[in-house]
Amino acid sequence: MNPRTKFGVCLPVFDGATVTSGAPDANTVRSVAVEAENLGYDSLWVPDHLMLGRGDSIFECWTTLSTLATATNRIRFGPLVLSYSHRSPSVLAKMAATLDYISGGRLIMGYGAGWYEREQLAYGLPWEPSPYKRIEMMREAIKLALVMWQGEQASFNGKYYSVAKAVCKPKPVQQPHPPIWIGGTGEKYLLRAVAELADGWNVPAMAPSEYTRKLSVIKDHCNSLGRDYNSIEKSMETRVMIIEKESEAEQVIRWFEAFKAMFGRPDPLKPNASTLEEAKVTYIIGTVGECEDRIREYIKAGVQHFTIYPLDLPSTRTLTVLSREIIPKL
Amino acid sequence: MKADFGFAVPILAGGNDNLPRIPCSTTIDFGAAKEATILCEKLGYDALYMADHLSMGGEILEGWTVLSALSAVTKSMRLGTIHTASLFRNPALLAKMSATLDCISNGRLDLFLEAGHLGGKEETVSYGLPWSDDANVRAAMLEEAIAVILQLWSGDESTFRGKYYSTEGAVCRPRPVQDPHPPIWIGTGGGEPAFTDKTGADEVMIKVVAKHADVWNNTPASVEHCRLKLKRLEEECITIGRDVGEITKSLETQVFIAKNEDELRRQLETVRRFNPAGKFFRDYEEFKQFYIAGTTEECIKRIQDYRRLGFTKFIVWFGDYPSLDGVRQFAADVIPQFR
Repeated sequence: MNPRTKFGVCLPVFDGATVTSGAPDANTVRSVAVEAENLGYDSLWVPDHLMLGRGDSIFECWTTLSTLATATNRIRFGPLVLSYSHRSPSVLAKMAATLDYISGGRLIMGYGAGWYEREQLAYGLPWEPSPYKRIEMMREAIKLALVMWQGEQASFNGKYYSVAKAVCKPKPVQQPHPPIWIGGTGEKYLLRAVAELADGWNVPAMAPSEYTRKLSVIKDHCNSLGRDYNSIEKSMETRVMIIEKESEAEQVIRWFEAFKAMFGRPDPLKPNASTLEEAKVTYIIGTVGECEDRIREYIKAGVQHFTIYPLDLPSTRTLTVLSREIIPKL
Repeated sequence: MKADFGFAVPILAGGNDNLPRIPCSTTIDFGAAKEATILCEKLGYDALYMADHLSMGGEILEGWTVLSALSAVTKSMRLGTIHTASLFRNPALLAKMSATLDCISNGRLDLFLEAGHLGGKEETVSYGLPWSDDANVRAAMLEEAIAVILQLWSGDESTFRGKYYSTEGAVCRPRPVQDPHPPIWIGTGGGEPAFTDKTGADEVMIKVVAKHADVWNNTPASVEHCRLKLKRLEEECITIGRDVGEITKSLETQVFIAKNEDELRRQLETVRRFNPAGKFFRDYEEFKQFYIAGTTEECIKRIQDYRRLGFTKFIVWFGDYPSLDGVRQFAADVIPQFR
C-alpha cells in the first residue's frame, strides 16, 4: 500500500500569487499558515526571491519563514527553494540550525541552483552564468551545511566556499540533519545532485507524463550512484483552485493574463496558459471532481507530496475543500 | 524624566568568557526566551533586543531568525538586534530582510548596525566571511551599507556603485512601514577597558555615528565614561555641522538589583568567572560603576544620572536571568519612575 500523499501550502508572499492578491499582507500570510495547520496540511513553503510579482513586491523568505516557528506548532516548513547565493552558505547553515532548533525540528531545507539572474545582478549578489557551475556551488553549499551541522567545529575547504573551525551551535534538532530538498529540472547535473544529496525533489508543475519521465532520470542517477531511489521524497509545486461558477473561471483567466503580462520575460512561474482549458491542463483547476481526478493522475505519475498555491487566497475555500472533500478520499 | 527600556532577551548560553551577560544561565532555552519576551511586553518594556552573532565561540542562536520569530509573539515592543554585524550579510539583502520585518511587525523595527568589532573577528573569519583588521575599511563598508539600505528602503529603483557594494536597478518592495524609514542605530564600545577596541575602532566609529545615526548606542560604561564618549560625539557633530541633539542616545547595560550590599556582592560572585583577570572590571567598586548594580533606589538614581547626560533609551540585560525576578522588579519599581 502506498504511503499517504502529502499536501503542503505555498504562502502568498508576493503580489500576484493568487487571483485576488495585491501587495503581500502579513496578516493574510499568518492566517493562511495557521489555517493550513488546523486543516492538517503537511507543510508550508515560502519562495526565496528579492524581486517577484506585480511591482516586484515580495516578502523576504527567511524573515517570513522564521515567523512560522512561533505562529505554528506542528506543521513543517521550509524555503522553496533557496537561491544559493543570496546568503553565504556558512551563514545559511547557521540560520537553518537555529530555525530548526527554535521550531522544535520542523525545518525542511530546500536548496536551488538559482535561475533569476535579474534579481541577483540588481542586488549586487554573486551571479554565475553557467548553470553547471551554479549547481556545483549549490552542491558545495549543501555539503558545507552538512559538515557544519554535525561536528563540534567545522572545517571545509571547498572550491567555492570554506570555513575554518567554525562553531555552529546549537545544532539542528533533527538528526542527522534537517531534510534537504533540491528543486530543479536539469537532467544531466541538477537531477544527479538530487540523487547524490537530496532527501526530497521539487519541481514546478509539468504534465504527469513528463513528471514520470523525470523520475526515471532520477532513478538512473540513483542507480549509478548507489543511492536508494525510494528514499527520495517526490514533490511537485502547482496551483490549485476549485471553481464552480463561470465568474470564477473568468477570474482565473484574467489572473493568467495579468501574470503573463507581469512577467514579460522568461520566468518559470509564468503559467503556460492563456485560456481556461490550457490552465486546466497546466494546473489543478476545476470542479471538485475534476481536481480530484487531476490529483489522482499526478499521484499515479509518482507525486508523493504536492506543494500548492491555492489560487483563491485569502479565501480559504480551495484550502478547505481540498482538505475535507478530496484528500480524505485519496 | 522619560526614558525607554528595552529588554535584552538572551539567546545564548551563559557559559562564555567573552561576555558576562547572563552569568546565571548556562544553557540556551528558546522557550524561556519566548516566555520572557511575552512577559516583558505585558510588563511594559518598550522594546526587545537580542544579540546578532554567528558563534561567539559558543552556543548562540542566529539573531535575525530569532528576531523574526519573536516579532510574531509581540505586538507593541520595538524590535532590534544588538549590533547587527553588517559584515554577515549583503547590505541589499539586509535592506530587504529589514523592510519585510518592518512590514510584518507593523512598523516596529530598529535597524541596529555596527562595523564588526575586534571581538567578532574570530567568528567572521571562521565562517569564511571577509574581514579587514583596518577599522577604517570596516567603517567605510558600513557607510556604504547604510547608503545602499536607505536607497532601497525608498521603494524606488536603486542604483549604487560603491567600492565594496553595488546595486543596479534594484527594487525593494514592499518598502518599510515606518516613515521616513526604520531608525538606524549605530553602536560603539563603552570606553570601559574590556570594550575598548584597542585598534582604535571606536574612534573611527564615533565619526560614522555622527554622520549617519538616528540613534547611538553605547555598551556598558560608567556615567563618567559615558560623559566622555558623549563629549567626543558632540565634537564630531560640530566638525561635520550636525546638531548632536538630533541623535538619540542609548545605553546597553547590565542590571543587578539587590536588596543590600551582601546580596549584590553575591551577584558579583556569579559574574566573576566570566571576568578572568579583571577583564571587565577589577573590583566591587568598578562593578558598581560600570553597570546598573544596587538597590532599587540606587538603580533609579544611576539611570537618572545617565538620563541627565542625555541617554533616553536603555537596553537592559538582567544579571539573574533565567530568573525573572529582576525583570519584574525593574518593571514594577524602576520603569514607572521614567514614564
